[in-house]
Amino acid sequence: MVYALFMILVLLTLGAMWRKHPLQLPLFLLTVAWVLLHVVRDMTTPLTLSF
Amino acid sequence: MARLYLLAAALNVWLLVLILVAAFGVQLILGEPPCPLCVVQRVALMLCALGPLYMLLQARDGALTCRAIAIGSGISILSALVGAAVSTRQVLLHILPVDKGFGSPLFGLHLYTWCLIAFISQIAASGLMLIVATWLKEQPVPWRIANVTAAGFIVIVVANLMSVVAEAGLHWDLPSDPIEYLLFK
Repeated sequence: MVYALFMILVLLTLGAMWRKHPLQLPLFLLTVAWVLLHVVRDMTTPLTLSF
Repeated sequence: MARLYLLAAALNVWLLVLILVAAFGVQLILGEPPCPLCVVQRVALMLCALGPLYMLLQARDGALTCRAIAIGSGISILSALVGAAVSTRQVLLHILPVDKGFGSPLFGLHLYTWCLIAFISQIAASGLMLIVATWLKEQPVPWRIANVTAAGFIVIVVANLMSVVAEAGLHWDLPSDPIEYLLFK
């Protein structure tokens, strides 16, 4: 589900870009930060996601 | 110059969409559901495409500005850095000589290695786009490619979204070595 949420956030960001909404950059930054945190969590815990 | 610039941005998006289509093709044709790190790399590719899409959408009903180019390139570079970190991690997980890697190789390299090449190329392309912006004249460009490009991008994101929902089912995370679609189990 978490990956589906990432993709929904990508679509929401695109929607905000389409409408030139002020939230376009905050939405993008939120998505990147969340993806990065997800990866860092994976890198700092025993192998769970990685294969 | 502005028209050429927008053409380059559109090509950038279509290349990223093509990579996502190829990954999707490997998934469906070879029957190999993507692992969690593969899905994160796909998300990073989508985020990379938001950069040139930002430029295209900003220029849709006005001029292409240096501000839009700077923000769009920044979006791509940040996303590509995250993606490169993920691909590097996956490459390193399979670096030992006895390890055969995850999934089937494509043209001799595994998909995560191709992704690393794609992310590094994206950073280089964005850097080049920023330099070339020096010669840009901010003038209105009659250019209607943004809508078609955004539509193509939406199709591949929605396809991946449906695929990952089918793969994860109602679970928060994916299994590290997925072999089936949990939603249909």
